[in-house]
Amino acid sequence: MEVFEVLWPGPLATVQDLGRFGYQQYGVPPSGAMDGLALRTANRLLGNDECAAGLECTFSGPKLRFLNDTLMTITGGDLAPLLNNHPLPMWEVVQVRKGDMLSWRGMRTGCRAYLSVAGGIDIPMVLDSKSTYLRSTFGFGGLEGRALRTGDVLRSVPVSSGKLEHLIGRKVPRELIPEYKSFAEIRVILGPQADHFPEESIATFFDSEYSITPESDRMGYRLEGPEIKHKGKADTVSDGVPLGAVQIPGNCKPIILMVDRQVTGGYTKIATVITPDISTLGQMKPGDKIRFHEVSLSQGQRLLSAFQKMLDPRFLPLKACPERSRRIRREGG
Amino acid sequence: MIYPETRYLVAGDQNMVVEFGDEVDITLNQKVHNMVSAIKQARFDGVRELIPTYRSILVDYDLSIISFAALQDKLKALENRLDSSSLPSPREVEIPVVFGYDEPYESDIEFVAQYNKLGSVQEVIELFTSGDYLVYMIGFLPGFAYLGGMPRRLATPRLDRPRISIPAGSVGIAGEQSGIYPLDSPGGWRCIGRTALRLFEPSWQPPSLLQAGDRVRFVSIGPEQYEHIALKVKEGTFKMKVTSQS
Repeated sequence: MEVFEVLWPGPLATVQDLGRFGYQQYGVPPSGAMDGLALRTANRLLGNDECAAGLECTFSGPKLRFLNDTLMTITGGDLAPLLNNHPLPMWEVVQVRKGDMLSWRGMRTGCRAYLSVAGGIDIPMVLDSKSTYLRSTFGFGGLEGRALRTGDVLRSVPVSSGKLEHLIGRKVPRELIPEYKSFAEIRVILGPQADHFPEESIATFFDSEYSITPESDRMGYRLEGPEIKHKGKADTVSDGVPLGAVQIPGNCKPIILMVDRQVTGGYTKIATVITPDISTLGQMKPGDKIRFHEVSLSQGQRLLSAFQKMLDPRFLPLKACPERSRRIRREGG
Repeated sequence: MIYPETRYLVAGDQNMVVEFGDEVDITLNQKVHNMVSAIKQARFDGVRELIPTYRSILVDYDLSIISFAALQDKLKALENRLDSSSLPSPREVEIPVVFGYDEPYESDIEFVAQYNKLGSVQEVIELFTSGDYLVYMIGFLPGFAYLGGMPRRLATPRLDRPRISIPAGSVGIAGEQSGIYPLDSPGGWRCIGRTALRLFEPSWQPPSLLQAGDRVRFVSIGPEQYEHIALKVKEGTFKMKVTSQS
């Protein structure tokens, strides 16, 4: 059903799910939500599939008019959403009526809000995902690979209304709502190319504060701070670039690679951000500061296991996502 | 060089790099493709995604199913039997190219001839089409194939100033490498010709015409043939020449 109409697109709103997996070998970046935890939580609140698509709203949100009655929730960064000009609670399922207007006052904490509706956004899958790969001439997925525009009408996957009533008012317990700050410790595991750096550089990397520059987007975050010098050359023979890789190019300033990254690259990679801290980074904006904190592989993997347990349907029921599990098995063959 | 012993490197909490060496080399890259085929055949539980590159494989694995150490043991064992495994033979793909046709830009083919002190553009075409190319890896852009195997006498440095938009299908040279732009995008490679084939299409499965490990041959065609192929590609009736080597 038609769920809302875009009256004003805001700075950058795109359709995202948890990403596009299995196609990096063809040069296709995974894309997906920058703060996967917030999008998952929104879907879980609404009883949606884990891989249902929502809107990722950056710095502020789009002005929308609802075209049908539905349920909605907004999670992630606090961009001060308003429903018919009244402050709207976040991390909670709210009922919206045909004709309701959603607007935003702008960033308070974090920088990316996730708007989900009951059933999720109904948009064709491209390479097994609804995520938008945002590129001016050749983007794809989501709304033809572009951000929302004035006049766009989005649809939601139909859900029988009997299933929905009891969800109204369901919310995430306050203690489980992440706090977004303008400073964060970001945990990394050294490698795969830490041996390209002398000990002094590794020390500088962990002892210094880095700020996120305005040249930061869904592809990656460029950081400003003390230089990390290489033993030899900055470039290496191109190899695979995982999510969260921290590259040190020739100017010796770190770049953290995010969801729309090129899947191969030739800058040396000193360290890799652990998965649980990717969502933290996804809420950080230009001017915010970080410090890298080293964890071992076993510590990192324990933190990942704990994070994955948190994503379990412990406090809120979660519907399984059959496509995702099929996707995971596929690479075998 | 190719390392005497393969390195298994940690790349965060869910990825492993299997690194065979640190140079651009056909023998080294062939080992990457053989190992990728072997891993796919072995169907290890917990292996989610493989990215083959010039000299390594990035393995995305699911920690809840397999640990780093267990995966490393399995891959080492697989590597030890690699020479005796029977792997699928690579595909050979023929790519028709009209050389010297690079609108809206002036073709770089004259420059490539002059730079390499070759007598004529025709000599560039003959040398370029004599090569037996290997798709080292797909990266940089969706569907962008990095090709090895270009005759060294054609090696030409990149443009000093990248062009703002290079049309999809442009065949280019950067140093000793060659590649084909799959999509309209900025780029700094020297363009010597164009193919009407579509290299990347998100609605295809798989979305990329070329895959890492494929063999590629270029054939020289004239402008009329180019237009003819372009029309057939547009209609969806073009039959690409793909053979499996034995």
